[in-house]
Amino acid sequence: MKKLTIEIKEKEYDVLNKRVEEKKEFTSVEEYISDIISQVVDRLRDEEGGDDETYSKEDEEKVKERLKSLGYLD
Amino acid sequence: MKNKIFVLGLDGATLKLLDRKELPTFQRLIRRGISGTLLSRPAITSVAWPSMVSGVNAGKHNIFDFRRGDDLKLSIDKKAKELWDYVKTIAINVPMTFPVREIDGVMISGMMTPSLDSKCVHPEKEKDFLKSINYAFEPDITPTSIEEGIKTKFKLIDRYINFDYELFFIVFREYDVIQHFFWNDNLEYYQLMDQYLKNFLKEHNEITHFFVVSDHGFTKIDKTFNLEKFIEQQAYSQFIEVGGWGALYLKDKSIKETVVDSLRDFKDNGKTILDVYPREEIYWGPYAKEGPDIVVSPKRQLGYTLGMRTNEVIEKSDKKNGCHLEKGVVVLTGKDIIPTKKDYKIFDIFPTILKLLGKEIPDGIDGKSMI
Repeated sequence: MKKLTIEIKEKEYDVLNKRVEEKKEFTSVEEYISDIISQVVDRLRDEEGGDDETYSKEDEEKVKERLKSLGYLD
Repeated sequence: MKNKIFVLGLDGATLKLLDRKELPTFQRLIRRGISGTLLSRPAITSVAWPSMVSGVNAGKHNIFDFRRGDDLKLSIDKKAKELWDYVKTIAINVPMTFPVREIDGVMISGMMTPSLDSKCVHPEKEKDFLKSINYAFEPDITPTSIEEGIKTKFKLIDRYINFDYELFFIVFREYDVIQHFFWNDNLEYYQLMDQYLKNFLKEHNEITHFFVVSDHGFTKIDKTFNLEKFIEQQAYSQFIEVGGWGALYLKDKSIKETVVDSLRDFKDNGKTILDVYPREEIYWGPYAKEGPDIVVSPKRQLGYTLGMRTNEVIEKSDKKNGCHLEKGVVVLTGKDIIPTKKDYKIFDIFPTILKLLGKEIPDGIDGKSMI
C-alpha cells in the first residue's frame, strides 16, 4: 500500500466523521476516505473496460476450468 | 535479536490429522506449542485466507467467494490491509493474492493465477527462477502432480529462506486437493511434510516462531447435497441466484426467513443435514451488504458436501471423498511460547503475528492476539 498525506476541508472532515460515528461501519475517517477512493478507482477501471493487470479472456477461462475441476463452479 | 516468523499454511488440516504417531515432527510441535482449533466460517478457501492475513471477516475484506456468478474475484477486490502491508514478507501461494502487489519483500501469487506469464510475481525478476523449476501454481488432480507440487514448494522455501524477511508465509494448496479427491491416502503426504520439516527446523534456528495454520479442517464425506436442485424443487428458482459455493442471493428479501427455515428443516434419513447462516450471523462491516444473503453449508461431520451437476438433491459423492470442516488448526511454537491447548478463530492469526513482530495492532479488526 502507498502512504500519502492529503489535506481536506474541515467541513468535509466533519461530515465524514459524523458518518463514521453514526454508521459504525468504519473505524476512522481515514478508513472511510480510503474506501471512497477505492470506489472511484473501481468505477474508473470499469469505464476503461477493466484492469489490464488481471485477466485476458483466455486466462479467465483457464482459471474457471480449474475451479470447475475442483467442483467450485458449475 | 528481532523475531522472525515462519507460517506453514496447509489448505485444510485439523489437530487430529497432524497429531498422529506417524508424524513425529508435527507431534513434537504440538507438544511444545500453543495448539488448538481455528474456527473458519464459512469454511471456504477464498474467504478464509484473506481473513487470516487481514484479521477481519469478509464484511470488511470484501471477498465472499472465488466468484459472484460468472465474475471471478481477485486481489484487487480486497479492501483490508494485510500482513505484508505492515512487515517485510515472503508470501508464497496465498490464495487470492493474484494479481500481486508491490510489497516490501517477495510475493508469488496463489490460487486464481492463470500462468507464469501473468502478474504473478513481485519482484518480476523472480519469474526466471520459477520458470527454471517449472513452477505450477496449482497441482493437477493426480497423486503424482500433488507430490511434485509439494516438493517444488520445498525448493521455493529453500531459496527464499535466505532472503531478508520478518515474516515467511507459504500455503500448500496440495493438501486441499489430496484430501478432497484422495482422502484415504492423505497420511503419506503429511509424512512428506513431516520429514521435510524435521530437517528444515533443525537447520533454521534463526526462525524464532513457527506456525502451522489451516484455513479450515477436513473430514471424510460420502454424500452430496445439490443446492440448485433443492431450490428448484421448492419452486424458489425465480427468487434466488446461487452465486457461489453455497451462496444464495435473494432477489426478493421478504422470503429470507422462509428459505432459511426450509433449509434448516431439510432432512435426509430423518436428520437435518445443513448449517444455514443468514448473512448477519457471519458477515459484518462496510461490505457485508455485498455478500450472499444466506450461506448454506452441508454438515461435513455427517458426511455431506455440496454437489453440482447431480440429478437428485442427495446423491452419493462419486468424485470427492473429503471436504472442509469449519474447525481448522493452529500450532504456534517458539521463543517464550508456553504449551497450551485452546480454541481460536481465523482472525486471531493476524494480530498474533503483528504482536510477535512488535507492531501495533490496528483498530477495527475481528481477532485477538493468541499471546
